[in-house]
Amino acid sequence: MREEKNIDEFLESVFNELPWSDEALDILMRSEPEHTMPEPMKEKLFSKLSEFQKERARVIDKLSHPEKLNSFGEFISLIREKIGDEVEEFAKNIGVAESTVLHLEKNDIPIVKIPLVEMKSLIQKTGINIKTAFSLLRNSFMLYGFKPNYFQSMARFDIKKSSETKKIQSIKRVYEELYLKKMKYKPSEKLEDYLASLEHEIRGK
Amino acid sequence: MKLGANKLDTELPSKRIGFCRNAARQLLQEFKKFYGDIPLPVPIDDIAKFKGYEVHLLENFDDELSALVNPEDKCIMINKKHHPVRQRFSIGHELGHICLGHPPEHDSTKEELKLYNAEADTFAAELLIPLEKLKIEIKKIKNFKSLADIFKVSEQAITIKILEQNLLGKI
Repeated sequence: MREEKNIDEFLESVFNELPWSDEALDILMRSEPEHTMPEPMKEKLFSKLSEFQKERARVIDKLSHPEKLNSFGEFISLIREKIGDEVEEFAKNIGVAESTVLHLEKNDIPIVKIPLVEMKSLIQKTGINIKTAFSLLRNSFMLYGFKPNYFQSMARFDIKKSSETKKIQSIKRVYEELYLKKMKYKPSEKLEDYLASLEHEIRGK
Repeated sequence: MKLGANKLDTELPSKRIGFCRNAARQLLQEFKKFYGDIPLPVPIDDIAKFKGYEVHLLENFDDELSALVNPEDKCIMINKKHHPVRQRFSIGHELGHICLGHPPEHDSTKEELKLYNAEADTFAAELLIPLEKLKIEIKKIKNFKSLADIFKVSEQAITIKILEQNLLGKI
């Protein structure tokens, strides 16, 4: 029983980057090189690794077609997931306020309120193509204030392969895509002016 | 009996198989009244439209999510990345939730959800592989793969249907 708890602690430390407890560390030390890793630990480790790899493949796949994403915030969130940064660390590395990243990811800020210098930094440092970035920013602009009514829905979802949190995120994304598909972008003077200034800023014209 | 209106008891699962199949047959009958004999494969998109639902194929689905239905918006959302055969079954499944009167997910317990999904699957199987049509086709075609192609369902779905309806001896 204790052994089982230690294994869980160890795995939690590995995957959530928590400080390793002495006991957890002890298990790791005992497992190498003269001892073999206990079977239950091996199984859990492989299962966790396989989940992790699957999730990583999903993120990379999505980032290989950024133009298909719903919003600029979704792009930022995937980039963060790919490099394994928390919001604070990511914001610091890019040189933007933490709140900018948080608001963008949640689509709860009008795009035009984000300082040009921060947006420029986000686009340049993530390496996204300007045309794609602008298209995603137009989507973000449209999605601002959109509250999907997903509580009324029924989903055909394989929960065995995923989790309740993933399910809600996935459902939310589908609703956003449908909303964007139905609404079609009507050019907003404010946003287009913002994008023109942003392009000027990025290209240094 | 209006399903989903009451909490489920332990006797319900076995009773509802017949109920689900009948609900699917009833929908096919209603559709038939307007559009004549049902062709094969069953025109599932048209049936959804007939029920007043728009079907949207969307990109942003994770693989685990096959479909969504929102009765308020009268909208069925389907995973564009899935195989067309799977998409057809998903549409049938979502129509099942609607016709069987299942409540929204957030009003249901995990056990109820499991049961509702099993019921929606039974409904979809009858809708896409109507028993009456299967009995006719099975006289002419003797292999699962060809039958699956005719009904445009998976081999797994046709096999389960044949086994459930005790039609294995007819093949």
